[in-house]
Amino acid sequence: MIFENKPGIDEDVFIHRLGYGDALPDEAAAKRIAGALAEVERAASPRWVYKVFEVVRSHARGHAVSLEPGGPGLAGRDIERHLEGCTGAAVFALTLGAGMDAHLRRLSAADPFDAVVADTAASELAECYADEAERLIKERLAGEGPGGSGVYLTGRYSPGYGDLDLSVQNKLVRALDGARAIGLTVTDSHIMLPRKSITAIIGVSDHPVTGARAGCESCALWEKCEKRKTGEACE
Amino acid sequence: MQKEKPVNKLRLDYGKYTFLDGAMGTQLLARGMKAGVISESMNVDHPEIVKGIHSDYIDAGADIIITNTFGSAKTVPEGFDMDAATVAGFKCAREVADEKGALVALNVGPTGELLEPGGVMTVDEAYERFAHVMRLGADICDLVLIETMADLLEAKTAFLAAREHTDLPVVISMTFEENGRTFAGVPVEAFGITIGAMRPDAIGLNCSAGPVGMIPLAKRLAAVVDVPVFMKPNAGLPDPITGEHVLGPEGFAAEMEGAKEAGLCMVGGCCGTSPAHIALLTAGFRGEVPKPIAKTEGSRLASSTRVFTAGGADVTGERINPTGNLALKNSMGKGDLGKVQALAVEQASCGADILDINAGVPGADEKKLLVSAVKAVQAVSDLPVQIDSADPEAIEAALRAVNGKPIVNSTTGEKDKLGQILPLCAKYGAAVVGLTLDEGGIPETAEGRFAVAEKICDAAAMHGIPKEDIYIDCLTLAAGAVQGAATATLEALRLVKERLGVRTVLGVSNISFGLPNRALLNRQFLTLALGAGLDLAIVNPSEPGLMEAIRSFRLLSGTDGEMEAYIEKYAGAEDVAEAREPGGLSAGEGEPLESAILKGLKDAAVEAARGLLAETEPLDVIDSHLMPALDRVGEGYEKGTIYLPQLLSSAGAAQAAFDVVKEVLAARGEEGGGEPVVIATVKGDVHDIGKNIVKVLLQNYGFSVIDLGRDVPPEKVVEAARDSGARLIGLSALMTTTLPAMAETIAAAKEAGLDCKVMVGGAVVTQEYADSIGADFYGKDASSSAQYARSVFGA
Repeated sequence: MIFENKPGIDEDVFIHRLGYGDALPDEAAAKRIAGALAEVERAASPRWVYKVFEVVRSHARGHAVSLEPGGPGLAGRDIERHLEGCTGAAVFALTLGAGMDAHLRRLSAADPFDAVVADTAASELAECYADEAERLIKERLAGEGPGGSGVYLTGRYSPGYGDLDLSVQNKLVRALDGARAIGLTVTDSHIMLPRKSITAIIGVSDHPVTGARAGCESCALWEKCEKRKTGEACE
Repeated sequence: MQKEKPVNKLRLDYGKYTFLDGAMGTQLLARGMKAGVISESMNVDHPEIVKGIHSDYIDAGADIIITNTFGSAKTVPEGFDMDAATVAGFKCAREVADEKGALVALNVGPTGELLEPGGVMTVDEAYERFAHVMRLGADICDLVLIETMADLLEAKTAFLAAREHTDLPVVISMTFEENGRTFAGVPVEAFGITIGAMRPDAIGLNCSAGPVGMIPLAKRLAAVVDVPVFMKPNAGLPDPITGEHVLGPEGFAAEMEGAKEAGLCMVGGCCGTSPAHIALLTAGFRGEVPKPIAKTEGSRLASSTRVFTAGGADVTGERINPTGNLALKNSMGKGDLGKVQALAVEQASCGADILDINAGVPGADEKKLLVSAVKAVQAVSDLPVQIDSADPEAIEAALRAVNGKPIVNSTTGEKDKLGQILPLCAKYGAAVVGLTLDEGGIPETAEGRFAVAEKICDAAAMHGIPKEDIYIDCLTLAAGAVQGAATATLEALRLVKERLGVRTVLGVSNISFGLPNRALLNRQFLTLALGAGLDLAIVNPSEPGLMEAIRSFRLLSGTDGEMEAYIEKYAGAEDVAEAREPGGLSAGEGEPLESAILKGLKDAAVEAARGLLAETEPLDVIDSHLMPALDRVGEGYEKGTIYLPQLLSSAGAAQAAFDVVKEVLAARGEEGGGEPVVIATVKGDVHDIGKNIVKVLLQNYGFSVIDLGRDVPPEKVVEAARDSGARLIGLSALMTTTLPAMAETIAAAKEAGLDCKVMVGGAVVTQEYADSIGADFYGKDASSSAQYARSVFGA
C-alpha cells in the first residue's frame, strides 16, 4: 500500500539529532541540510503492509505468545508484558524503498557530509511514516470491537527491543508476505533490506491498555549512549 | 533407462490466445492449508489437493498449468526439504497434465533476498539457486515460467539459468506497481529493453494489483519488445483484516476485457484468482484473435532504473579508464574502487548519458577487475554502461554482472573478433560498438572504412543483433600525424549513417594528439562530427567546452525539445557553488587552503591547492598545509567545539584538495604516500555509514584505503590485506548480532599470520569487547581511528 499523506521531517529536531547539539549550523550549512532533506523526501517511495493477528497465549516451545493464524511465536518477558490484556496484534512493515538505498550509496561516493545528513534524514523519515502507519491502523480499527464500540491500542514495539530477539524479524516479514507486498526482505543476520524499513507490533484490546515498551536499560547502546549522558532519552 | 523428453507442444504467437491458470496459494488456503505453512510442502503432504487444483484449472480452460514451486529458489527454514517438495510439485502437475491434456510450466519466483548492491546476495549465488531448480525440472516440465520478479538483475540471472540448464521455452514476468515500476524501481520499459533483447519466448507482467492497473503497463511493455507479451494479474489486492481479494470472477473477467487491446498473446490470473475466475476469463477470450502491438523504433539501452533512448548527440563518459590516468591506475590496481565510483557520480552530474568502463590495468586480472568496476559503478549510478574491453572472457563476465542492457565496446571487422564478440552480444542482449578496422588494419579511405562497417553489420545480422543495436566507430586518428585524418573519418561516418542506417559512435580527443590547444580542436571536431551524423560521442563530460558543443548542437538540431535543457543549463549561470557549501567554523583570514578546509568549502579548497602547487612541492602542500588544517579540525572535534557535520564537510573539502595533489604526484610517477589500509563492515552486517566516515578521514591523511564494502567474510579481509601488504585493518559492526563476525575476522587474520594491526569500531562495540576479541585498538569515533592509523605508521 502507498501512503496517502506525506509526513515531513521537523527540521529543527532533525538538526539537533544530526549532532549539532545546541549549536546551529551556519547559513550555508543550513541551506545544504534543507536541500538534503528535500532530496531524501523525493527519493523515498514509502510502502507499507499490515495484518491483524489474534494473540494466543501459550508457553509452548518457549514462546510467550503467538500470532495466529500464520504469524510467528514471540518469546520473551518484555513482549508478553507489552501485549498484556490484548486479544489481537496489528503487525506492520514499512519501507522507504530500494531507491532510498541507491540515493544514499550515490552520496557516499560523492561527499561524506551529504551522505551522513541524508542517512540520518532517511531514518528520521522512516519514523515519521511509522507514526503515520500507526495512525492509519488506529483509524481503520476504530469501528471494530464489540458492537463496533472501538478498540484500544498499545504503542509500537519492534523486534530487538528488550528481550524480543531480532531473529523474529524474518518470521514477521514472512507472515506479512513482505517481499511480495512491499519488496521488503530480511537477511540471515536479521537485517531488513532495503535498509530504511521498520516493523512493529501494536497490541489491540477491547479495554484500555498501555503496552510496556522496553526501556533504555535494555538497549544495546546502554553502555555508551551519548544521548543518555546528557540526560535525554529517545522518547 | 533414459527418460524420454516431453515433446514440446508450446507455440506462443499471435495466432490465438494461450491460457495460463490462476492462483495456487489462494486455492491451497481455500482448500484447507493453514496460514503460515510453506505452500510447497503441500506437494508432499497433500498431493491430492494440489492435483485437484491443477485439474480444476484445466477444466476451466487453462492450456498451461503452473507448478506449485514458486518458492523453490527461496531460503527455507532449516529442516525443510525444498528439493523433495519441488520435484513432487513438478510431478503433481505432470501427472494431471498428461491425463487431461495441458502443458506444465516450471514455476520459479524470486529468491526472496536482495541482490548486491542493495542486498548481500551475489549474482553467482542467485544463479546457482535458479540453476538448481532448472536441473530438477528440465526433464519433467514443458516450459519455464519465471515470475513475480522485482529486481531486473535477478530476473536476468534466473533467465540465464533457465536457458543454460534446460532446452525448454522460457517465459518471464515481473511485478509492477501502478506507477509502472517494481519495488526495486525498475520501469516496465527497462524490463522490456533488457530481457526482451535476450529473446525469451514471451515476456509479461504478473501479480501487482488488478487488471485495470496492469493494462496500460502491458501496452508500454509491448511497445519496446518484439517478443510475445502476456499478463497474469491479481484479483485486486487483499484486505489487511479479512485477507479477501477484492475482485470476484465476474469483476476480474470484466476488467480483463480491456486487456484485448494490450497486445497480448497469453493471459491468466495470479493471487486471489480461482478456477471460476479462469473459466470466465477463457470464455471471454476464446475465439478472439490477439492483436499485437508493434515495437516502436529506436535504439534503447537501460540500467535497472533508467531507460536511455538514443536521441542524437548523446554522450558516453570516458573517464573510467586507467589508461593514461596514473592516479586511477594506481587505485584500481590495488582494488580500491572509490575513485571509480566518484568518477561515475561526477560524470553523471556533468550530463553523461552512458558510462564507459575500462579496467585494463597492466598486471591486474582484467576479468575480475572489470566485474568489480561494473558492480561499483552500478552501485552509485543509474546510467547504462558501456563495457570496454578487448578480452571476450572479461566481456562475458561483465555482461553477466550488468544490471540492464549495456553496449559492448568493442568488436572490429576481424573475423576472429566478430566470431567471439557478436555471439556474446546476441546472447546477453547487448548493443555493440564496431570499430572500422580489420585484418588489414585501419583503411585510409572513407570507402575502405565503410566496407568494414558493412561487413560488421552483416555479421551482426547473422547473429540476430538488430540494426538499432549496432554502433559503428569510424575511428578518430591524430590530425597532427596523418594528413586528412579528420576528413576521412567524417566522410566514413556520413556514409555509414546514410547507407547502413545504424548508430555511429566516436571517441573525439585523439584528433588533437600532439597539437597545442587540444580543447579547441576537440570541440571543433566534435561539432563537425555531430553535423556529419554522429549519434554518440565518447568524451570527457567534465570538460565544459565539449558539453557546450553537445548542448548547443542539440538545440540547433531540434532534439532539445522545447530547448529547456539548454536554457536550464546556461540561463543566469552564475556560480552558486559557494553558497551551497556548508561552513565549518570561522577561521578568519589566513592561509587559503587551511581556511577553506576549516570552513568546509570544497571548490575553494581545490582552487587553493592548485595555487599552492604552482609554487610548492606536492608533499609540502600535504605536510605543511593539508595536515595542519586537518589537525585543527580534529582537535576542535575532540574538544567539542566542532560537531560531526562540520568535521565531515571539512573532510570533504580536504579530500577534494588531496585529489588535486595526488594527480600531480601520479603524473610524476610517484604514488603519493598511500600506505594501504583495508577496511570492511563485517560479515552479516550491512551498515556502512560509520565505516565510510572512517574511510574519508583515512584518505584525508593520505592512506590508500581498500574498502571491501559491507557483509565482508573474514577470508576476503585476509586476502585483501595479504595482497595489498596492508599493515592495518579496520573493522566495523553495528549490531550485537554481527559482533561475533568481528571476532572471527580477527581470529582469521591472526591465523593467517598477517603482520597487521586491527582496529575496530561501531555502535555496539566497546573497549571491553575490543579487548576480549584481541583487537589492537578500539576507535570510539572516526577521528580517533584516523589518529590511531597515523600512529601505526609512525606519522
